Amino acid sequence: MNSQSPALKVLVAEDHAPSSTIMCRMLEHYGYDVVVARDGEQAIEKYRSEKPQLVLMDVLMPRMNGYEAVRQIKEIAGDDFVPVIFVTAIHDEDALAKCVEVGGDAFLTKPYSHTVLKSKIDAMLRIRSLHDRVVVQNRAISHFQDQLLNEQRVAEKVFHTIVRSGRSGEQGVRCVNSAKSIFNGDLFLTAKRATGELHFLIADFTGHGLSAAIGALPVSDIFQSMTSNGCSVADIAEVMNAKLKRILPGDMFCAACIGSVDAIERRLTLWNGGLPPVFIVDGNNRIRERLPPAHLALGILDEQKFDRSVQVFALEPRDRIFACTDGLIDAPIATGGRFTQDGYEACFEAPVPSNMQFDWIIDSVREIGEGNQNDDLTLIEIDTNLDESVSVAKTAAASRVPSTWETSLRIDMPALQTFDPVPHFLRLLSEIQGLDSHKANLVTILTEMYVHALDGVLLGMNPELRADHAGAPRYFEERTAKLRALERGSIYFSLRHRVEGCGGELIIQVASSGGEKNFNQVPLSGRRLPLLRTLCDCVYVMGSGNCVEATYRWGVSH
Amino acid sequence: MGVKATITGDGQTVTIIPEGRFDFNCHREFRDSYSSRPANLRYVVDLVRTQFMDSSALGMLLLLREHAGGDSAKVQILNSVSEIRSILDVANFGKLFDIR
Repeated sequence: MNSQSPALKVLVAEDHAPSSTIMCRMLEHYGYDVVVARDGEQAIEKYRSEKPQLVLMDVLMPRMNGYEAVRQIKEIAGDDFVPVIFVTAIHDEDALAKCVEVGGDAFLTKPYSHTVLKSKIDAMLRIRSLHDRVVVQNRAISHFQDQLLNEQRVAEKVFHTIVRSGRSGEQGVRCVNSAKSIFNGDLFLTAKRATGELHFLIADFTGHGLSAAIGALPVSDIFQSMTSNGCSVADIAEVMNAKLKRILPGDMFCAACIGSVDAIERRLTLWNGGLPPVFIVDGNNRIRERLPPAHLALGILDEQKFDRSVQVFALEPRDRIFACTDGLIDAPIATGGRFTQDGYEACFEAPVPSNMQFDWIIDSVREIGEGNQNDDLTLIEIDTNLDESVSVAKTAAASRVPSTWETSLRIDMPALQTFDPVPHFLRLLSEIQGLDSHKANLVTILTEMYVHALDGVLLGMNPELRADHAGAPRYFEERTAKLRALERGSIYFSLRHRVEGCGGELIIQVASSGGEKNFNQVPLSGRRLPLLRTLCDCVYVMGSGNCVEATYRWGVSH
Repeated sequence: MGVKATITGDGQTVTIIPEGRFDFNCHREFRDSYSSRPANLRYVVDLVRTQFMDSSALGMLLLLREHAGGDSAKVQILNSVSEIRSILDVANFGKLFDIR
């Protein structure tokens, strides 16, 4: 034995005093700490009080023999492994077999050589230390497993709360989201913008469990709050990406598709990063457009490298949108292989009515998957004939006591190319004045005035085309190009609010200057001016059309 | 199963070959195949023996790219066919890797 570790304690049970003494001397010579018992009963007693690490046991002893003593010692030891070596003069094979039967780990017949006894002890102690290690590891593993299961449960709870609270319950929106393990990393959220567009998000996190739940929290928060603040799909994608890039480890990301359905202007705006193609399905149930992912998933690129550009598509009256996660494409099928993109697309060839197509796809995956419903997929369908009526925010949250304040903002190039000031003012209005029940009106007013100033005056485009659903995609393409090419120009916003009766009066002025060409003298024409006039108490167009002032009164008794 | 890595030619190129299923189970092996090598080498992931790949494999490729210098990395992905190619395409990994 080496001097650093404490001496191992060995119990010697032997009724024959000279044999016992010889054995003890030998053990002490090798450095063991020796405890002696004269019979079986004493052996049990000593075992309890001294807790030896190894037992050498004679078979034939008074009061209680070795067999019974070992049986009891092994019972007391329970899960602890205490090697027992029978040392006996018996040579009868049955008796020796019994040594092992009662729980002994080895036997040695007298007379024995010291060397043999020593090596038996060494071998036994080696097994013992192996056993100890396994026990410690098992304990650690089972503790770890409990912890993991518990964490999974917590994560599941968090995730499901997000999923449950994250849908605005729109009619015409269907979703199947099934989970393989405790839950998968798929997320589907919808929210309605104050102006009536339906925002949706379908996301697939790498990894399941806790990691998906961690990412789902900020994604859901950002999606809901930015949508309610009137932000655009591109803004939402950009903020989500920056947040996920910061919080997720390098090998984790979130494949996501963020979209906006404008049921009135018949337009789909889409940012798709890493999810399978989104389909626009026409009134004849055929795929009219395949919109492949244009971007990397969220959480991969740095803020500076992130591409926020969206795709804009015109919607026909009976169009529906289908989107899925790769779980659908990769769903295993009974004949081996996967469902595949082709299998998915083939579902749209089937002669089923449009209200059955969604179920048809799900049934197809499950049917050829041999009824195996342990899949891990998400499929959504959005009927673009959502609520046709212009939605006005339902909750008439109390507005704050009116006060007098004003603010102004001037945006020059290049901030004009990326910054959308409308959400900024909306937040300001909401924080200072409440006005949540007026949000829909205010978003529309601010947006219309801003579009007139930027698209109409500075870019020289005809904003009417923006609302023309067939022309919209080209319009947005052209707008992006013109905006990129714009070298000079600025837009000035002024918001003045004052108390009026028991409510308030808000005067919004938006003016633009600069631009490449002379002012295009674009009057607020067509749909725009009447719309503003409907919403506002009065509207003035000034200068050459480059300055518009609108007055909006709230809470004023007429 | 497994990941093989060899230094080829000029000693400037590390070729990593994931075999069979390229998924979370070979996470450690994949990382070990490059983590002790300098960042400024050329890295090639050869998928010639890969039959299956999932999104955790995409994560592993991102870590390799980070190791090899992020945006300045020269990571090539070779021999990606059919299903594996479409996974890389849907993820738009062509924007980050040289896929052939």
